[in-house]
Amino acid sequence: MGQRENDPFYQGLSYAARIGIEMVSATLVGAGIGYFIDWKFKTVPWALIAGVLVGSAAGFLNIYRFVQAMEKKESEQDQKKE
Amino acid sequence: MEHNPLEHFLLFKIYNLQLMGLDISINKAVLMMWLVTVSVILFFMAATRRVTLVPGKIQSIAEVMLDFLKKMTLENMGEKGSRFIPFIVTLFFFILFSNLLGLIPGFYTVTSQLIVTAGFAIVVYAISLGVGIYYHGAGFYHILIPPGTPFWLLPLMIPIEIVSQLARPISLAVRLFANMTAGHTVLGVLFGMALGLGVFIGWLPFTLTIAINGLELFIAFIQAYIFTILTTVYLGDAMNLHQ
Repeated sequence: MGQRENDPFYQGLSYAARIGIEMVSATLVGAGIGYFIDWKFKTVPWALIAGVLVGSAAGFLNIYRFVQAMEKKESEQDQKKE
Repeated sequence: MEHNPLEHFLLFKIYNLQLMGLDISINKAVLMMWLVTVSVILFFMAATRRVTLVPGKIQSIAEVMLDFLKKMTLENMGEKGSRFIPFIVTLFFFILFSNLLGLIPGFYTVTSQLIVTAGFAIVVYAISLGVGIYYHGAGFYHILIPPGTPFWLLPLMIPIEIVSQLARPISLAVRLFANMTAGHTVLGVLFGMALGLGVFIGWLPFTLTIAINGLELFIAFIQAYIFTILTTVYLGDAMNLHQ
């Protein structure tokens, strides 16, 4: 594992594995919460729609933060090399 | 020849055990978890049996991995994170060994059961909540407010942050489970083809299983690594609150 962490191929694969499911799970959680509110308060289908929107926004936010952190880390690594 | 590639994920009771109305029967997955625990212990016993300044093979593997995990924990959690290193290392080695032992034909992959990975994810998330409350008390609600948010955006940002928090344990659990199940299903399908097609064409899917097994070996490492790095990121978030 030690040498592998710097290999761009392995790093890219691990990023891809992380980002992909982040989006899906946030959307699903939002949809689930919306569905539950609809079922509880009989507001079909408005809470579900709002839930999916909020959930996908949360998914985008997660990915945005992740990419931001990665860029910060990479620029730090570049500075170290120089 | 009929062959169902999902069949090997099914669990059957080996030994029936009831405790106060709870079904705690022993099945393949339970036996595998015991085996994983024992093999992790044996690995470290072998690594530390004769500790030398110039490490031998097993000792240097263990040292490289421990050093890597320690660096990762401190990087994501700061100096205060050092007390979590034992937890992170245990988590990593348990997941890694259950992924790797599951690749041996005839053995069972514990991490291909959603309940196992969900158990890990929920424990990790509960610990991160506990850590946040321990370090920040009531001020922990700041984790729902990203720094620099104007107050008129709060009604929008708080629900989004709540959803993004709740998605964490789910993505953690589903990622590990889905990767393991998918890989073993592909292997099952290919082995089924190899059995069904006979020797003349069957060698082709059989060769593929060897290649896929190599890929799975790598995925076993990557998934254990991702699970632990996300654990440290989540714990670090709870500890340092958007810093």
